[in-house]
Amino acid sequence: MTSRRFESVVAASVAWLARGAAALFLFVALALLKESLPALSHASLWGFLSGSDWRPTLPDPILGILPMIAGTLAVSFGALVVALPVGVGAALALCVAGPRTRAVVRPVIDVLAGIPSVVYGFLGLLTIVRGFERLGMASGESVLAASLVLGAMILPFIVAVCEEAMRDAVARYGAASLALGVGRDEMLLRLVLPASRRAILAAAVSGLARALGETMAVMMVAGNSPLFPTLLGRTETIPSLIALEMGCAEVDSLHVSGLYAAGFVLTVLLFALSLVAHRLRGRAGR
Amino acid sequence: MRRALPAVVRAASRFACGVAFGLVIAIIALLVFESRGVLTAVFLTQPPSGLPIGREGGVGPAILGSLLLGAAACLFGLLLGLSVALHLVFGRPSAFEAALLHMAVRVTAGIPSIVLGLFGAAFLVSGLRMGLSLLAAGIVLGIMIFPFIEVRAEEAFLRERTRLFVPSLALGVGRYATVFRLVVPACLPDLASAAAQAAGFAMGATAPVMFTGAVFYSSAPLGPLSPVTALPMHLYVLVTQGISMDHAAATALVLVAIVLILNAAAFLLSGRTRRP
Repeated sequence: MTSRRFESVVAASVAWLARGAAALFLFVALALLKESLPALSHASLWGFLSGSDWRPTLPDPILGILPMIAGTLAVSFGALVVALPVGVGAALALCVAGPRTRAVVRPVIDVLAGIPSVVYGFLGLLTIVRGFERLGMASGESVLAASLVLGAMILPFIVAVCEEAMRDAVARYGAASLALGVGRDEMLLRLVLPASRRAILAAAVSGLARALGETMAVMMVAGNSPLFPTLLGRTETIPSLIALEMGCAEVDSLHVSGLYAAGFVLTVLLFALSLVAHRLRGRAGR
Repeated sequence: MRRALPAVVRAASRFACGVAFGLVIAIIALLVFESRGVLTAVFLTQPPSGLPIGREGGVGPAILGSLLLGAAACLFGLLLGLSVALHLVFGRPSAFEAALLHMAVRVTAGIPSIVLGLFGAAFLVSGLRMGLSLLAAGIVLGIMIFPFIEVRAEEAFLRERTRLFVPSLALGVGRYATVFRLVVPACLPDLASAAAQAAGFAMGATAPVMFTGAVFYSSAPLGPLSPVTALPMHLYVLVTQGISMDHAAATALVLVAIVLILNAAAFLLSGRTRRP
């Protein structure tokens, strides 16, 4: 093959492969939408989103996922409440830590990001759920347990995003504030923390997005009853609903279609959040 | 109070750092402690046995299945990720096309893994009649990790563009001849690093493979169209069916060890190309 032909053949195949890869998400969205249509036309979009009953196996199935939407949001915001203070605090400590401390602590915290979610679920069951039961709760599986486990899972991402911005801020203001005789703690509190506001917000939004899509860990500790969430009560999230019922639902039934529709709702929610996160990051970088 | 606040913040932030650090140590220690006595050579090589199955024996087939799933995911992830990165950096896309491609990669990265599993079940498993198979699960995992590989590959390629690509073009060498003879070899440590980390991520994933190819019990897979068993799936069943907590802990420890080894390899590899 002449080199000119080689060039044009390779360039064309790379370009089309790339476009194909980029089109995959459309493909996923369309496949999902196609499978969800029967359920959405049965229950109507509004009925599906606002219905509080999920009885997919009745002869005339009732499909409403409001409790699961509420459960997903409750567990994820709970995770944020757990992880944000710890993550921001750790990032503050790390952004002024010496290079040696940093070189040890950062990789160790990053290990948290590598641990698979099913392992988190197992550990949560072993420690948190059992602990709650020992404390006298009827069932340790709860919104609180799920939030604690999810909080640990999103912690490393929050630390990473916040620390990067805070180190920038220290680089910008560190020397000047030292020259003016401002103490290091004073600088952290009055300069670095306010300067990283947007990054903290961006970290919160992307942490939230991660938490919303999480399946295994939540499913193993949240109890999976389609109830409206209370702090110490059981709940069920959209991903766990899908994971639990997909295996036993009748093929081509409204039940399966309802599960696809639930997945579609979750994807749209996450898509909106990722747009927000992207805009926040873009501005934080400026 | 105003005076004391900075010191309080410092103490709190150090404490938070300690919490995050301690959490990792506690997790590893707990797994090691809970799996004492179970983690032997037999456990690492033998198939599960006992009644109910999994109470005795080991995770040999699950380790093999997880490695195969990781490899298949890497194969598809690299194919998709590298083609997007190559086209973006060396393929002269218009600004509009580049923006679209970047947006698509970001959106794909945001699809929750359980939804990718749903897609695989509808389109690959039943639509294309792949059945529950290594192939279907590998493709789904490949889609899951391709955005990560793309971002890392694009970074590496951009670094080499001015150093290698432009001079080589100026000497009259063709674009993709330069890319395959010079740029890709120079970026190999970075690409391998991204692939290793992505493989670790794929091997730990349960939700995307539950309905596409992973089953609780199977022998060694006979081919790309047969289902496999995988460590996360094995762990999930052991825990939720209450079969054996110490076997579950040992399975989790094996899974975490594999992922951490891959992450450590990725970390070492990525350090190697970072020149001043």
